[in-house]
Amino acid sequence: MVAVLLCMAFVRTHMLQIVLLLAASYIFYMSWNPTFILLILFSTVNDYVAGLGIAGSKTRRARVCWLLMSCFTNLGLLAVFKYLGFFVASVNQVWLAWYGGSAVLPAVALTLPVGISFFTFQSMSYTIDLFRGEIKPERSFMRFALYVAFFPQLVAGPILRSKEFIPQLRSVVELRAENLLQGCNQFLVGLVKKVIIADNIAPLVNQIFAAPQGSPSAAIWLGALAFGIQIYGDFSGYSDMAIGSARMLGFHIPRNFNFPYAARSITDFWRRWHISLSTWLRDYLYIPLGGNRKGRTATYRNLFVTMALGGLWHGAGLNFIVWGMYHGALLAVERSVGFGRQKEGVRSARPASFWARGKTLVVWLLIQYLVFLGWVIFRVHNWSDLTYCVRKYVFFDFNFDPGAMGLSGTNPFVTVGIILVFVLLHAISYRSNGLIHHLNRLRGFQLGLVWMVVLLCLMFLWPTGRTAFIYFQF
Amino acid sequence: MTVWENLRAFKSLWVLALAFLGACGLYLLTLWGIVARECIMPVARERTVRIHEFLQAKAAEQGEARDIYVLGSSVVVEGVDCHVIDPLLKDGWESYNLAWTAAGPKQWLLILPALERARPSIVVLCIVATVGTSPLAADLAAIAGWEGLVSRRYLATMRPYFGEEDYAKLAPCRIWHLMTYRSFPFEALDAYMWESSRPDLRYEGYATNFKAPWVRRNIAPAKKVAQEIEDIAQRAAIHLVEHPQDALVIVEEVVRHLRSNCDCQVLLVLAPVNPKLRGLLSPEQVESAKQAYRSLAQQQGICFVDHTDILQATDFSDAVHPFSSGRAIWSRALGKALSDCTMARSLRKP
Repeated sequence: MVAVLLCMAFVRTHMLQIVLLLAASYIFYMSWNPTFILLILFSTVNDYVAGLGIAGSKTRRARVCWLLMSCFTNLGLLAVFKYLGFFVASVNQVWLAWYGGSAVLPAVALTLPVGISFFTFQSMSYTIDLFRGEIKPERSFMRFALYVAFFPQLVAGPILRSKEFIPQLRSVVELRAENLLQGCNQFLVGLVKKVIIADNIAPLVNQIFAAPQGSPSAAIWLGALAFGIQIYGDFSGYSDMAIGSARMLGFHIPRNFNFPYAARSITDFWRRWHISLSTWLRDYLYIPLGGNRKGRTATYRNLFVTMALGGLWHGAGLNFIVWGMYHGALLAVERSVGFGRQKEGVRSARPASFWARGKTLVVWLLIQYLVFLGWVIFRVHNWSDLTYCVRKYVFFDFNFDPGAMGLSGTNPFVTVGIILVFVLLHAISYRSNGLIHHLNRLRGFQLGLVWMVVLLCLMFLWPTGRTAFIYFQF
Repeated sequence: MTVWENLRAFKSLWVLALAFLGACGLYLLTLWGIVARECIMPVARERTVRIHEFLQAKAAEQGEARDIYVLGSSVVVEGVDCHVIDPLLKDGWESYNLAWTAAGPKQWLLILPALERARPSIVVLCIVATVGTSPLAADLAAIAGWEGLVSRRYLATMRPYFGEEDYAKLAPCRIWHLMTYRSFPFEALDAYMWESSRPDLRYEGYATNFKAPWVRRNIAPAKKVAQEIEDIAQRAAIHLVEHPQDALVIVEEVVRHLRSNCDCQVLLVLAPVNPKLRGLLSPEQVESAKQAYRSLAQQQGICFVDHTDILQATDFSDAVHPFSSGRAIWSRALGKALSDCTMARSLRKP
């Protein structure tokens, strides 16, 4: 990042800057696996050509053909690299269960290219927007290639929208002190979320869910809470680092998380969690399916299908599909009882009464209970563990024996301390509309002091083992 | 914007660079003060440091030593009570329990130089025949590096026995080891909280108690023990099939070193194994492992005692650790074996 920034300071030609950023993006991706750069290049060329095709076509039929080519190619890549192995294994499993004997299909074990779900969706959104006439085609291949492979968000999002990002690539990058400082602050916040919160919680989560059978309800609850915080710290931490890195270069990437655990309904949760994916699913799947325009039953079906496919997007596994369907069902139920329709940011001028506050608290607790139950489904990878964990989560057994929880070797007390610190910081940040804004206002000695304390915490709490970003696998 | 204007933007980051330097300085200072100086670290690690200090103090003592050092893992920590052994020995002889949690043959290599300098009369090596070698924990390697447990020369000699992965953990410079201490204050706090919250352990003086360091108050629940036994049996079966020689090679080197450098007698003891665990393993493989150690003892001309079968399942507090009855039985048996050794030693050295 530092090298890229320094180079950008010396390169003043716009096109050279684009080439430099593109080269940095490709080198960044190739540092993981050089071969898969061909996949990005293929997807880029495919959608660039499709984009020009859509823009140049006179008839709707031709435009549809170009769009289908783009969608089929991108979804085909996803199907082959992400879902083929799962599909073959599932078919074999069903075959063996019903007919016995040997497997009917040969096993497939392809390496999942990092970030494939992100760059294919990003690339596809460009051709769909173009087809809808919402944007103009990008004539410069370099610029389009950079939009697809922009390194800060390439491997784990946020999923960029062409209409928001491509225009930013049309002007010369100028390094500004304000952007550098704000970018560094955002990056630091992301690093804290990833390293101090997520990575320190990971061993506890792994221990609990490695063999959950026999664990008491308290362990499953702790595991659910810890995993919910771990995945938030991990993913929103990466998003913050991506947004911060882009900010240092002068680019604006919209936020991907907005205090999801403050949500007061499942609908509200999805307005706050992985915003770039949920809006993508809304705009390119839910609305084309008919959204809420075709009656109640169709709306529930559309919600269910959209969320089930959203779950499948996360990975080739039954638990992800069940998780998606679970959220789809919750959204449908919410919609049917008319819950969760309040608009964001609309607050009553009058102070809430004690009962109103109590009701809000109960609703919030219920929503968090449901969200964290969803995380249990998301985290557990086999059916028997899944049913056991859900049973223990729902029917609490009041067994608090620390020995029975099997947490030795995971620093459970420090982990619980970190969870409490996270909850506290999250609450303060929510009440004060985001700590990052306060951090951005600090200057000189005050900023240095905050940085020093945070860096010191990072040094002490940097885990000894390496933990990859959870969303890299998606 | 000119290049110069672009570069001037970096000027705003001076405060961050300063903060980074300040954080590094404070970090090293805190580590040095809290961990290296005050020895605030997880208790099992502190025990390793204290054992090293104990051996150094013994090395500084004058006169003929009649000390017996018992090395081993947590099975020895919980299973050997030197208060039971000492009355069984001849006058003037004293035994010390220098075992620590997760200390297998590879971990013994870390205190081997200090052990040799302390000039013990007898060293008891307690082996669990069904367990292989485990890699050095990163924090233990950091301790060994910072405290200077092993010299560069010794490390180079022992490289094949440590293995490349563990050698790499020990090889960096001293300041690097200090830097890898970073998680100790938090881990120490956690370990303390963890042990305090467990009703089954008496946890006093473990780090500096070299007689009977750790005593359990009660037996673990049967269901948990059964699960543990199953897990350990799986690991033991893999070890017995795939890596039966790993520990043997290191034990041979330890014995060779001790015999050539400090003229001490070595007693190789196979520690008790829970009969329930033995029942899950292949008798031929267990016998073959035991036979390998017996042959090693014969080749090296050292005493060999097989205590694998001396305890009943009820003498264990969990899958592997002896409970109070087991500790008494094993300590007496060990004392008896040592009294024979001390007798022989006394006769040989008038």
